[in-house]
Amino acid sequence: MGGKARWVAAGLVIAGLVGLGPGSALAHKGKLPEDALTLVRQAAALLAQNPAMTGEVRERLQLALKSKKPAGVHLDQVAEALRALDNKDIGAARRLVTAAIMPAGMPMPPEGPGRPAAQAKVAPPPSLAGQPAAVQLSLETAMKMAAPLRVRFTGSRTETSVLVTGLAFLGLGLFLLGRSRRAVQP
Amino acid sequence: MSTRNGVWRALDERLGLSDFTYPVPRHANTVAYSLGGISLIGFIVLILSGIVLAQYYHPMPQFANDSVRTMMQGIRFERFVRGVHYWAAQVVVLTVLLHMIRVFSTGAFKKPREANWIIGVGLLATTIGLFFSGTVLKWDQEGFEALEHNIAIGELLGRLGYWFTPGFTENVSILLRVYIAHVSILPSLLLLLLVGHFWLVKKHGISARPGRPVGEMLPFTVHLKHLAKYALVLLGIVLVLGVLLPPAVGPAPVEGIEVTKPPWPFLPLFAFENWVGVPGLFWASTGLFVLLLLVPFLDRSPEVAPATRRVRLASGLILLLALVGLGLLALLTPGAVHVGG
Repeated sequence: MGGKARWVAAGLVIAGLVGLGPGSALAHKGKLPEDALTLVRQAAALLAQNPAMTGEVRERLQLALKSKKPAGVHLDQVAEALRALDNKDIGAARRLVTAAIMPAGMPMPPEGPGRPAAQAKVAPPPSLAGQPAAVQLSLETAMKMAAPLRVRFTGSRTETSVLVTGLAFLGLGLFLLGRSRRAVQP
Repeated sequence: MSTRNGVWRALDERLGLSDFTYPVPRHANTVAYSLGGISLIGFIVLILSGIVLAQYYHPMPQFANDSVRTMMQGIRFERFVRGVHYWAAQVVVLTVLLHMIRVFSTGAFKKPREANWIIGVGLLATTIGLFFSGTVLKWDQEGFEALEHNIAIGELLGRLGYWFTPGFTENVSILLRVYIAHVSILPSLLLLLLVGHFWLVKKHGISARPGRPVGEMLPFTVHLKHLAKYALVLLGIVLVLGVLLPPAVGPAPVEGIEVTKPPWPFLPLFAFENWVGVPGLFWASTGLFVLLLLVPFLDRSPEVAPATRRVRLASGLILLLALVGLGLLALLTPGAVHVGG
């Protein structure tokens, strides 16, 4: 490729980036939902997964308090959660936000981006498989389910057996590779 | 004739095993030249562990996340199998990338191996596709946001990207289609590409090391034995990591928020997305793959010795360092909202 052609190619790539960039990016940034339940659910998820995003959480809780569709949310607890956030008590805020939407049961996972999220209903119909679509949980269980699950090594017999097997494979492999080093090093 | 030789001869007569004794250079047994073989071993581990995981995974949006969480909390072995699957995926992406870096740096993509380099780029894309779809299947916030980005790109591409959008079919959820892609479409494509890749490796032979004679030749079966030792090491590593550092799984996703960062192979692209939004993600990844496909056409000289390819090697190194730098930048800076939100 000649020098001139290279500059033309680079120019086309930059033009593409500049032309398609900001406009389309902004087109994807949607508005916040209007119903209080979705807003509080989003706030609960943000608090559970990234407590540092307090600005986004506060914005949603404030909108939820002003929402014209407050069904399924205890707004008094939302207001308390906002006060807890002001006091930088993230734990209390999380607890209050989760409790604020407890009557609606645990949210159903959305069906997929671009499709309407399974909106909360106080008494949702059972699914095709026969399981209830939403179940009433204790606050502790709800909070646990809303947090990332990180399994730790506990040293149980099964874990230790798998660990020993892994170490044995690793040791045997390294030993055999070391023994045949002559074949490895040309 | 010993019993062992007798068994070998009987099997060889029926299965043609001696066809695998064709000569390969001794340096094929070094780690650098075994990275492709190690990646293949990783793929085998992924297929076997994936078959086990498929017995416990529920690919419907309502149950997917819960089925993964149940796996991780279960008292049976599926939790370790998921750990092995997760870590094997990390290792395979790493070894595939290292394999490509080795091929580029030793000029092994040059005539007559250009077509195999292109197949290799296809294998890299398929590997990344498998890694991406696997991330989505957890159906937690990270997986959900990854899919949202994919859909945003699909919408950006209009008719070309229609398959990637939920509108493609009303009756089947997009998660189920991603699952089908992960367990059927992409592995089939991988298999096809691997057959072509290995056929061309056998046809052209293992490339010589730059500036050195080919040296002693050994039967391919010796190379296979050596790969078996690497397989033990790889299996050991993924078992140990799978037990000591089992992969986490987030809660069921909530639509309309963007709170996670992508897994490490996508972090450099995330930096572009932070600058110019979703199109940056598309253009950067397209540009990178087009550049990789063009490598054999941009560097057509027969020279493979590093001393004669300083500019091209330096360009490759700069690109690599830039990607690593962008990845670190994306890791350390707060993410922006790109879709929804």
